[in-house]
Amino acid sequence: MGTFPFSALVFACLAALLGLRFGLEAWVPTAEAESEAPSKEAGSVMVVPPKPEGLAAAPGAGSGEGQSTMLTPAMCATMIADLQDTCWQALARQTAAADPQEALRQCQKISGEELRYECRADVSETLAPAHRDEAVALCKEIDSVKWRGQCNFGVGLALAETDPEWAVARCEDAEAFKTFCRHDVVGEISLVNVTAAVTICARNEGDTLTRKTCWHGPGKYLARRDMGEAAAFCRQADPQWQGLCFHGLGWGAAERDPDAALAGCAAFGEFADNCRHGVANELKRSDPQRETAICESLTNPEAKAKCLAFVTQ
Amino acid sequence: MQRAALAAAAVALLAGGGVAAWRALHPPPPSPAEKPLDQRAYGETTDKEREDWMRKLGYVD
Repeated sequence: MGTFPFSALVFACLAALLGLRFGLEAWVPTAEAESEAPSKEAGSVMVVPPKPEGLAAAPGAGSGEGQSTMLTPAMCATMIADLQDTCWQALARQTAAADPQEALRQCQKISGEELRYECRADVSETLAPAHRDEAVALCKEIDSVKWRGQCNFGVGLALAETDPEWAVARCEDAEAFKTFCRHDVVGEISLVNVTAAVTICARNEGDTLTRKTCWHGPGKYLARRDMGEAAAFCRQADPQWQGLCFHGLGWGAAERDPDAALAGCAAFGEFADNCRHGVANELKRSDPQRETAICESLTNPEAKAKCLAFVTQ
Repeated sequence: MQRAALAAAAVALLAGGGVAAWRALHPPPPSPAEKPLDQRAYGETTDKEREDWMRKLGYVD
């Protein structure tokens, strides 16, 4: 056999392998697509927000007494397929305080994986006020990082009023939601114990983001109830983060009444712009034109730039 | 000599093709940075990612 036929063999091998390589790539696009899709989401916004603030309790949540309808397993089992998962979740919450193991069994009947994890987190949260260690143990058993974090977040919120230090410590296990957790847990604490909230934030624990959002939380939570109360809290904040606290104040007050919030901001002197900035940001979803107008009216150039940047985000 | 070089090239091509085929059938798992933020452990998130996320939701100015 001469050189030419052997070269032909080599080139035939090359062609076959290249064909195999690209053919396989085209044939198995799903595996690669699955690994690429999340990067797009992670790079843009976020996928699932933390627990919404002020969300109404589900039927049967909390005490297990239920507000309107007491669900039963028979009701969930006979419900139309689209509603069954939601029914099992509500039933699990209703059952959690009295019989957590039974509640977990009800969670297992949920067909959707995400909702099944959420259900377990709900059971822990409901159980936490009376059986905190058991609740933490249940959180640890959740094998989804996201829902394990949410579970600890929820358990922290459940104890915020009764044991502030323990509640804030739960945030250490809230994974990606850690800073959200501290923000909201300290916010909840401030509603019943302003001194405890000031004490926790004044310790300046954690990274910069953790330290500054600690002051933002109570500003927002207290302003939902009373702007004056929130302003008194913000005046006690670390001077470095007072402006941020007033931003939270503006946001929280605007959730109730944007006009009253703007009028109230005028009384805060050097922090008036921070407050108006918070009002503008809160209006992003409901009234973007007004948001822009408020941003344009800010006198502090840095606040104005940040405010306008948020408009286009 | 030429034949030996060609034979070596053919072996290298086969090996390379095998690796490429294996990678196409078994893509590596996504790195932490490719996962959605909320599905990562705290240590797998950066300061900037967390701050941008919080800003969008009104937790920081």
